[in-house]
Amino acid sequence: MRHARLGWVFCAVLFLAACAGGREATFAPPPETGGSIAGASQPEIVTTTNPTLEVTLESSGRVALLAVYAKRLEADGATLRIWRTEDGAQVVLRDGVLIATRGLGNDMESADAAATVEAVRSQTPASGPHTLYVRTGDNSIAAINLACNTGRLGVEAIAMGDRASDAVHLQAVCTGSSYMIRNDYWVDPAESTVRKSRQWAGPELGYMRTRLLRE
Amino acid sequence: MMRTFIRPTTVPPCGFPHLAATMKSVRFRELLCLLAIWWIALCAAPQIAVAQGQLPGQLPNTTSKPSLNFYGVPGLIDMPGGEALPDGQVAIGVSSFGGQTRTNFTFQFSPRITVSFRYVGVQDWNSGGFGTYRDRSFDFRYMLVREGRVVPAVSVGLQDFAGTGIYAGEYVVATKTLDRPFRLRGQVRLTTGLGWGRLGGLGGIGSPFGSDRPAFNPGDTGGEPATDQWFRGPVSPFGGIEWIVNNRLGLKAEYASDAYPAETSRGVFARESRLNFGAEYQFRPNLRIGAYWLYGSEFGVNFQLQFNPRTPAEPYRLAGPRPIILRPDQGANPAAYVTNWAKAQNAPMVIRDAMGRELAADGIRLDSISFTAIRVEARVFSDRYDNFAILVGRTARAMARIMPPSVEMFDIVLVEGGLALSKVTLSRTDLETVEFEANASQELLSRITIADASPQVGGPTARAGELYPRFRWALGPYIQPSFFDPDEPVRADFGISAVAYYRFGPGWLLAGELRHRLAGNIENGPRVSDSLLPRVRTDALLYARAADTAIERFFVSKQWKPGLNTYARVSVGYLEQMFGGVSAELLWKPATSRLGLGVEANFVRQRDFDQRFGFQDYKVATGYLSAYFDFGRGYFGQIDVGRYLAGDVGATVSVERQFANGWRVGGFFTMTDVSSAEFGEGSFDKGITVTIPISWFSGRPTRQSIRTVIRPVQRDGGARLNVSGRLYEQIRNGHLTDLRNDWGRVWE
Repeated sequence: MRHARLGWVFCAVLFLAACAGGREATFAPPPETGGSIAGASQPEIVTTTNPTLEVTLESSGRVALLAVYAKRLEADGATLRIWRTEDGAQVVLRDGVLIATRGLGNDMESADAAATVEAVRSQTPASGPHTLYVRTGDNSIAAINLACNTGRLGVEAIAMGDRASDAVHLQAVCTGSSYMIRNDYWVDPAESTVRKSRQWAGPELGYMRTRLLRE
Repeated sequence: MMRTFIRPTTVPPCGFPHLAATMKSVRFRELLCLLAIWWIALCAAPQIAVAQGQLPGQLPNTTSKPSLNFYGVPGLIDMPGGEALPDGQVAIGVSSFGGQTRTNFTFQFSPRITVSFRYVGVQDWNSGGFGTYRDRSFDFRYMLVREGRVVPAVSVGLQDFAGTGIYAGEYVVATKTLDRPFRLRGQVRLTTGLGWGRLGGLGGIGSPFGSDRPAFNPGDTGGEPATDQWFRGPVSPFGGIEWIVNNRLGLKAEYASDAYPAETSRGVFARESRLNFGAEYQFRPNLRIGAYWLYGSEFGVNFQLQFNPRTPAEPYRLAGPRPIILRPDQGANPAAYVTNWAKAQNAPMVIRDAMGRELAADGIRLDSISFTAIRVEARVFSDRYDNFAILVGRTARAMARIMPPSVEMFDIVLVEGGLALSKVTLSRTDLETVEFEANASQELLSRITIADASPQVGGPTARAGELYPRFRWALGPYIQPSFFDPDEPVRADFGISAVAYYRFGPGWLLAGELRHRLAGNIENGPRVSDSLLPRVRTDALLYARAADTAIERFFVSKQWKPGLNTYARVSVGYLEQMFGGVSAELLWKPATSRLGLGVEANFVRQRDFDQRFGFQDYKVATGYLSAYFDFGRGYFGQIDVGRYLAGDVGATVSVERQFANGWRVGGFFTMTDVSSAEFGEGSFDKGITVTIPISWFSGRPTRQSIRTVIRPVQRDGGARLNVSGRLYEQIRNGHLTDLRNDWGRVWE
C-alpha cells in the first residue's frame, strides 16, 4: 500500500534523524559536590603520589582523571606527556600546551604550537602561528590556521585541593579561518608548569579545561 | 524504466504555438519584470557573497542549505533553483500534494553535478489500467556558474530525462542569494529560470530550438534518454523568492510554469492558479519540513532530509594506542644495537609470539613475520578495521615496541583473504620522530613507500601457528526487498539467515548461507515473467514461492597471487541464488597503479526453484574483460565487456564515488545486443548502487557494511552472475589511492 511505503520512508527518515548528532565522550560523570571523587576505582587526590590531570570537556560537561601514560624529553628541551583515561582516551600536552587528542572522536591529530609553547615556557608575551590539524569524518585532516597573540594578564592565586599558589595567567588570542579563540594558561613561575588551562581542541571538541592535580 | 501511459486526445499539446501577439508581449513583460526586480535588488541591497562551499580548512558541515523542492532537487516549491548541494551531499525528499507523492533521492556527485532518482505515485489516475499511476525517473543537473558576489548560481537540468516520462522537462535557472536586503533580516534568494517540456507548459514565450517535441508513445518501452526531445518545444519563464528568515524558518513564493496537463485532465487535482506559497521549518539540523498551498487548490507537504557521508552520524572513535617506545641513543648505547640476536635458533618463534600477542591486543592478526638484523616484514590482516591506515599504524607501533633496536626498516604487508595486497615500507627513525610533529600524518606519508607485495614471504620466516583452519559463523535476520512492482512498490521477505565460513588453508574458503523465510510478500506478486529472453533473473517470484528454507549459496573457493601484481580466484559450487557452477577470474592490478585489468569466465547452470541441490536444464557460459580505473579524488569507473547470463553480448559501464570512510554511491548501465523490444520494459539494464559502512552509524571500527543495488526494473538482459569474492572489490582498499585516502588515521 502506498501508506506502507510511506511508512518505510518515514521510518528511514526518523532513523537517520535520530542517528544524527550526539556524541559521547569516554569520560566519567562529574564528581559529587563535597570534594570527594566519585567512583571507587579513581584515586583519592589526598593520598595519590601519581601525576594526575583532571580534564573537563566544556561542551558536554564531562570530567575525567588522567594518568601519565608516557613521557618524552624532546630535542629542544620541551617535555611531552601523554595522559590517558581508564577507557583509552588520550590527551597529549607539550609543556602543558595541547597538541593532540586520541579516542574522543573528531580528534586533534597534531598541532603546530611552537610559538605558544615558547610563550608558556618563558611566560612572556609572544605572537606566532598556531595551527591545529583536526581529523574529519572523511578520514582526512583539516588544517585550521590561526595567528595567536599571547599576552600576560598578571599573577593570580589558584587553589589546587587544599593548597593555593600563585600562577602567571597567560592568554592567547587566536584568529583565523573564521574562528576566534582564547586559550588561557595559568603557569607556575617556578618551573614553568601549567597548573590550569583552558584550551581549544577544535570545532567539534570545543574547549577543554585541564587542572594539574598532582605533578 | 518509464511507465508508459496513454495520452488522451482532448488535452492540448504542450505549449501554445499560436499565441496572439498581445499574449506574447505579456509573457515577455513578465520576464522583464522578473529581471528588473533582480537588478534592483542587486543594486539596493548590501551584498555579501554567500559561498556555498566551505572556507579553507573548515570542516564540512551537515546543513540543509539549499532547501529542496517537490522534486527533491535544490529549488523553490515545484520549480527548480540554480544552486547545487554541498559536494557529496545526499538528500532524501518526500513530497505530497493533491494525491501525488514523490519520493526523491538526490546525490551531489561532484561539486557541479547533481543526480536524482525519483519514484512517484499519483492517486486517482484511473486511466490506462492504473488506479494509482507509478513512475520512476532520473534527473541530471549541472551547475554552469558558481555563485559569486554579483553573479548568480546558474544551472542547467534535465528532469526525467530517460524516455517517455511523465515529468520530462529541461531548464536553465539562476538563483542569487542576498544578505539582509532592504534591511530585512535573514537572506533572500531570488530565482529565475526558463523551462521546456513539463516546465514549459504555461506562459510559453516561443520555441527557440524547434517546436517539435515528440508526443508520448504509449507502446514505447521507455528508459532511453530522449535526446531528440531535450529543449524542444515552447519555453516558459518561471521564478520565485525564498526568504530565509532565520536558521529555522523559511518562506517561499513561486510563479510556476507547469500546466499539469496529464493530471488535471484525469481529475487528479484541479489547477486554479500559477502561484505557489509555502513555509518551511528546520526541525533538526538535517530535517526540514514544509507546508504549502499549491496552484490555488491544494495543500502540500515536503519532508527534506539532507546529510553528508563525510560527516558520520557517530564520530569514529578508537581507544588511543600504546605509545611507541623510543630506542636509546645509538651513540650513547652502542651495546643495545647488537645484531647477533637475529641468529639465535629460537628468535623467529620468540619474535612471532611476542608480535602476535602485541597485535592481538589491537584486534590484528599476524600471518607471518620474517626478519634480518636490520629489517622486518610482517604480514598482517584484521577482521576489525575497515581503514587500512589504522592497520599500518598499529602494526608499526607494535614493531617499534617489540623489535630489538638494531631493526631499522619496517615492511608491513596488508593481507586480505590470503592475498598480499601491498607493502608499506617505513623507517623506525621516522616513526619515532614524526609522531608529534605538526601535520604528523602527512609528514609520515611523505616518508613511506607503497609497493607490491610478493606472493610468498621470503627469508627466514615464522608463520603464525593457529591461523588455519578458522571457522566463523553467524545467525541473524535478513531482509530481501523487491521494488517497483506497480501493484506493490515495496515488497520484502524477512527471515533468518545462517552463514558459515571455514578457511582451511591460505586463500581457501568453504562458505555457505542458509535462509529460512519467516514472512514476506514477494511470492504474492501476480506477475509471472513475460520475458522473451531466457528467464535468468525474472523468475524471482518462482524462487520465492518454491521453498521456505533455501540454500542461498554454498561453495568452495581458492584465491592466490600468481605473480607480483596479479591475483586469481576460482569458485565452485552453488554460487548465488539462481545459478551454480564454476567461476574463475584473473586480475592484474599493481598496488600503485590507477588501472586494473581483469578477465572472468563462468560456466553455470540455473538452479532449481527450491534452491536445494538440484539444477534446471538451462546452462550458459559467460565471461568478461574488465577495465577498472581510479580517477582520483574518490571517483572510480569500470567497464566490463562480455557475455551475460541470457547469452547476450554487450558492455556495462559503472561509475562510482567513494568516500574515504567507506560510503559509496554509484550508477551503472548495460547495453547488449538485445533490442529494447526483446529486453522489455526499461529498454536496458541500469541501476544505482549504494554502500553504507556500519562504522558510520556506530562510530566503532567494523568491516560490515550495507550494500544495495536499486534497479528501476529487473529484466533478463545484461544480467551478471552474482558471485561473491570478486577480486577487485577485495583488493582495492589496500592499494595506493585508498591507503592515501585513509592516511589521516594512521596515528590513531
